[in-house]
Amino acid sequence: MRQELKNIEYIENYLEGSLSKLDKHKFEHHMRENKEFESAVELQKQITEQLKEEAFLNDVSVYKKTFIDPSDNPSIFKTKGFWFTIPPFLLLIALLLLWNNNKSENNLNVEINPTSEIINTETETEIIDKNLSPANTNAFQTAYISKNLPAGNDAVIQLKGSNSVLHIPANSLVDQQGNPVRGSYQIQYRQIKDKAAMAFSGIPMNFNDDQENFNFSAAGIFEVRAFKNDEELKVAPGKKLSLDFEADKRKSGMNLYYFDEQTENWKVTDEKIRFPKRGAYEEKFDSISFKKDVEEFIKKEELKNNGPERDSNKINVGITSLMPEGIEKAEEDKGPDPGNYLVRHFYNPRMIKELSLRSFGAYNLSEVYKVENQIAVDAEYRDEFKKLIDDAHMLTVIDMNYNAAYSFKPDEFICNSKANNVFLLWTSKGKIFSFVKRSTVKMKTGSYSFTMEDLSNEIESIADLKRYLRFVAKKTRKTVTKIK
Amino acid sequence: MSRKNPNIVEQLRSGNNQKAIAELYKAFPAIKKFIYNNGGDEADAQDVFQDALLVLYRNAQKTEFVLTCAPGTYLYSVSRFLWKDVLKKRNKETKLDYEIKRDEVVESEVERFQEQQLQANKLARVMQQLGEKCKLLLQAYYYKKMSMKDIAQTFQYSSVNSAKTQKYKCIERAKKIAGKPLSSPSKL
Repeated sequence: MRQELKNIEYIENYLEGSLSKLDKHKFEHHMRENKEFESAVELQKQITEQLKEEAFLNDVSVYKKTFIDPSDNPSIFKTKGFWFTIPPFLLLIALLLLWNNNKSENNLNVEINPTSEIINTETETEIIDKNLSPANTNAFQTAYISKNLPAGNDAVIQLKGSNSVLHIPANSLVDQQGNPVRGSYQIQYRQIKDKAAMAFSGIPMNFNDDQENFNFSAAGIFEVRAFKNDEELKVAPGKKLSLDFEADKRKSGMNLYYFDEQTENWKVTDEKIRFPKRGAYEEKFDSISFKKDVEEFIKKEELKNNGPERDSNKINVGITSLMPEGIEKAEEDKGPDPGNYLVRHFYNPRMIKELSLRSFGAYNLSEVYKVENQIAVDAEYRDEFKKLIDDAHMLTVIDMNYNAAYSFKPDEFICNSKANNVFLLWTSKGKIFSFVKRSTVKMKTGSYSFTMEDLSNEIESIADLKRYLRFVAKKTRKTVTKIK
Repeated sequence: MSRKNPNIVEQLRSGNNQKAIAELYKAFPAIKKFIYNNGGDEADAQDVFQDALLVLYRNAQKTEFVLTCAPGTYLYSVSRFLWKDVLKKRNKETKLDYEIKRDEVVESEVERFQEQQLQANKLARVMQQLGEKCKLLLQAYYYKKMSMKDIAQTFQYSSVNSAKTQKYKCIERAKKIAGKPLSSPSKL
């Protein structure tokens, strides 16, 4: 490197504070001695500052386009009013959710035909609401699973479709007046795991912590309620249910949120989300019955040894026949020493143990994030034949980076302008249209007309929608923006 | 705002400014309202707000700078002084429908900012002549705080050393354009 360039490097080191104490001293001494050098240092400093400021102003102007609307381009971000447009809609969704629950409850009476005093059985029934509007969307609702349980006994429910386990202690439920529940009651639950199930679930995926608004990216939503004679039950004061919850992903920074039906907002619970350490642990005995068998065997042996002498050749010990499957004998040719039998257990890496649920309702294991590159879109929708879709009922925005689906009134919505998004439009007549916005297609805040693809015949259930979203994810993977 | 974002100054120093800018823009509606109420329009509001952001950004680069109030409050306060000055320059009555609370710190910072703007305008012309590639390379290092290794990859230099040499050549060029080449080639 030329000497001039070396000097520039030296000045840079000084300005960045990376010179040693001695060199710094020498440098400052040289500056005092040589005014020309001092002004060279000052100029270099000013140049770097100018470069930074220009870059900063460039960033500012990019943001200006996004956040400060050009005056002819009305944006709902412009004022605080934006956030006031969301809560009423959330309220609507929450009402839909509650209404749907009530519907399910009513259907229960018709469909389950409660041979009422069932005490010991766990009958499982899928409840599907057939009356939900718009038409044909019931296939996009995650069904509730129902079980009849005796109130006086502890109940351990292995949740259908996952390894999650719900524990309900005996005598832990009360009715609306606070009286303990006797006899049998009915528990209803459902798990909403993926974007497809969230798309028309009516579950709001926004969170407000009284200061800011966030979006959820969920690792699992769980809803549980209990009923007796059509009356919704409550968890008795001081009691709690316990949930071993198998999350959909193992990630730090997640919280458990509870949907407060009074305020129509999610509240963060104080549950600590702890995933188990990876790896296995060893236990000397897995099977109590095996241990018992061994003990009995040893007792017999002792009795035998203390009893009258026998021909040892005639004794058939048959140790191996006592060993349950999967348990290895540590050493061959030795007696059944309990300490020598080890069983390896592997932790389920996604299982969060003993989450306390102090009331019935919806719980959401989720991380929160803020939508980057937010834009507000005024939208109209046309079908493939450019005909206006005039019965749009709801728009679901799915950002392929996150496990969530966000519902909006169809005429205006927000999204990440630089992400791969799927816009699903549900019409009042039960049709489903889709528009895939790739991250490479740049959008700005403003008005758009979307040409939608009619997928009503292809997507008729959550499973179909899931397949479709998988297909979109595969097609757009290369352009998915990196999640920070 | 400061409670939620105690590190906004840190963010402004780090080169990853997007988050900070998004947060600071929350102060814009109040400032715009103030400008509107005092004889300005949308363009004035945006200019004043941009200058206020620059005052904060410039200060945030100083290690000794501490933000003693919420960033929004700071921007609002700076904007009021800046707007007062604009009105003065436009020979308008500076009688505003508000009274500027005596805030010597902010006032002196705004004065200093305006003094520096003269030099900044001169350097802006230097930057125009510098060439886009040089500018982007230097901004990648000084603003985005990218490592020289990343810069070498991004700008397709054969090695980190050649990227470094190019960086210093760009500074040398900027200095020459500014009319003050480093005259002393003697080893320091």
